[in-house]
Amino acid sequence: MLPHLSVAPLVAFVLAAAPPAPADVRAEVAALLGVIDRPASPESFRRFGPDGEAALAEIALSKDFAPRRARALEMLAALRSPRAEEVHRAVAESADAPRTARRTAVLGLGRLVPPARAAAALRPFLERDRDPRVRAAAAEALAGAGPEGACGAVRAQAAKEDAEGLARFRRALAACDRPPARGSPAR
Amino acid sequence: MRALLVLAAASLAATLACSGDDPSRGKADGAACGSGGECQSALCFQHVCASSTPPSASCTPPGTPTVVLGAAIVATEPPPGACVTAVRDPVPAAEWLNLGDWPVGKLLSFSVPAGTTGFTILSQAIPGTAVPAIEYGGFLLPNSVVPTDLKAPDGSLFYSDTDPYPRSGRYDDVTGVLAYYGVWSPISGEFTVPNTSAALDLDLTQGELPPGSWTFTVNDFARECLSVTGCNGGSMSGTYRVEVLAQPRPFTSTGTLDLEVYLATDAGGAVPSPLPSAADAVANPQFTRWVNNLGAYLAKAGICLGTVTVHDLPPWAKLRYAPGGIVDVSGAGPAPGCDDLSQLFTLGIAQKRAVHLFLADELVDGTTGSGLTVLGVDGSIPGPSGAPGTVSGGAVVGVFDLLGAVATPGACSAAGAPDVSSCGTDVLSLVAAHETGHWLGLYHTTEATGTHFDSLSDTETCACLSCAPLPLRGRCAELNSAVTPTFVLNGYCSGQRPRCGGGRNLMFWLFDDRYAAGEISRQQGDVVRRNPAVY
Repeated sequence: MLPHLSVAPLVAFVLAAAPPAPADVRAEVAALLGVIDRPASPESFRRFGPDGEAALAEIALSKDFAPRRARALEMLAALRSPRAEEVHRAVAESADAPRTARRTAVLGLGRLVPPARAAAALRPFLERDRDPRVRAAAAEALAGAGPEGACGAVRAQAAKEDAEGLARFRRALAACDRPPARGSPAR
Repeated sequence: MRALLVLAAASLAATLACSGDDPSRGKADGAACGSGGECQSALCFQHVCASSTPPSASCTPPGTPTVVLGAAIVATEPPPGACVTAVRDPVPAAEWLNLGDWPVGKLLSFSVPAGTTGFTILSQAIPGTAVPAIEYGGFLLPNSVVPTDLKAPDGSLFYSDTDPYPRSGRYDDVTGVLAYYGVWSPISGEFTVPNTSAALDLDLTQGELPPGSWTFTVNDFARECLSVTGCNGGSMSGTYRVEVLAQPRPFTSTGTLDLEVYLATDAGGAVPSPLPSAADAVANPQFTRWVNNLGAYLAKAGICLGTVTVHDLPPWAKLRYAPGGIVDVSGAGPAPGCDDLSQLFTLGIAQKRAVHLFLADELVDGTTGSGLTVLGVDGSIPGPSGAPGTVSGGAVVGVFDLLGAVATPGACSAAGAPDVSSCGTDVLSLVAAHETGHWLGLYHTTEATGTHFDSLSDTETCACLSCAPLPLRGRCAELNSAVTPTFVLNGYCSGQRPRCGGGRNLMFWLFDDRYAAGEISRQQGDVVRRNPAVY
């Protein structure tokens, strides 16, 4: 957790910034987030339109159980909701959010933030978060987002982790070891 | 299907006619019967109408589960890139009949003694023989092993893997076939009878499966592919060790199930997992609550949860297959059976005929970018009870910070029935019960699109075209498979419309705490108690 951040006001601000989702939409969205044996399908949320995105944001920022919050974040990111980045940022920086939700939020930021801002958004989590799984998520997000120098930062942090931490960085390091796509900046 | 199937289907139709609309038309308990369809209760047991089968002497549900610390799993780390697909010895070995190693196409026989109420055929690929996958319709399909042309002693066909399913209106209706096998099972597969309404009715009415010599053909998808137009990669190369479990065993309305639990959680770091080790789990009151409420759900199927043994996995295995306590359940790997989840399951080697359940901190489907959350997964349906350590030999549930999490203060310390709206531990119990249901042979009562249903006639179905709200029916998969289909939700399937049920069943495809009651039908209970893991 980033100790210097006070987050409850941020969650309250993000929640207050949009009209609430209709109750029936929120109920159906919450239900669809309860699929058991496979991931939720982003396509199944499109039919709800902006009301559905509002419901997803509310659930992500709520005190609901962690997997439902995590899935709400995943769907917001997949749908490229206009509010997705601020919601992800609020959860990632939330001191009292469950680890699963924070990890998902950090991963999602890597998809939502433009490469030019990715390092600024993710390196604090990579280098200073006290939860090693959040650090690993930041590494994965950074490696996937692909800003210049990202893999240098990932490898530098990986070198500071213990053996278990290194295993947690596996996906990030694998992404960094893949040759970059033609024309992409050096990672 | 042959005569036996026709008879069974007719019996099933009678069952539906009698039990569904007007139970008073059937015979009362104690009357002689020739099938369940003749009885008010829809149950004909040993030719007498009955409201249930006799209870087992072993327990009265829910029983009292005992949590014990098990031995840590010891296994040597395979070399980098290696894929473990070793043939496993079933347990207890003396109860299994080893038919030997045989190539696909081989006709085999086994004896079903009088008094046998269920049997299992276990097939395991001899490493290096079976092709990993076939290509059909532009898709790569794992080369699943499944016996075919299973015939009863009178020569009637009990199961064919290539016959089309019967149709009822727009939908496949597998309640009337005598066996159903609806999953992919490369390398290792367990085929268990009975698991359909028709087979249960036949079995219960007689009080046993037809005794005598049964036959079947060793088979996999690659063999079937050779005779399917447009299928590529067909092969007769697969050779399988085939073993059968067929022992006399009475029908009972109760039974005991033991559980082997393996922790694939992250024990390290500044913020450890809530279940960092088996010793911690055994001492954790919320783990005890999880066990007890898992037992409460299974009790609805007449099962007493017996001994729950918790094991640590080797540290190398956790780092390799569950780094950070996170397991990729996508199945993505160099070949079927060689993905992280399948390889993790090969460590479920406690020598016990039980359900082997893995707990990880999180499950993700890694095929989609950074991965999407999955609550639980089973290696196969049914799980390989009695063959610990195969690539399909586990079910896995993600803990996801749910253990002890509360939506209402005190919810996880209150006694009484599970509270999935307020207590995260109880959500975990329900998901574990759902995955245990799959292991024991249950399919989803209704799948997501509302167009596929399980093989049991007393579980309510929820067809999209009948049950989705009117404005959404135009996108039902029955009408148009090209668009993103409407999914049926628990709320559409909880009795608000006629013939729209199952939303409260344990095996519905979706968990919604407003509806999830963990209901289990009589036939679902009959199937799970026939599984070899239940005694």
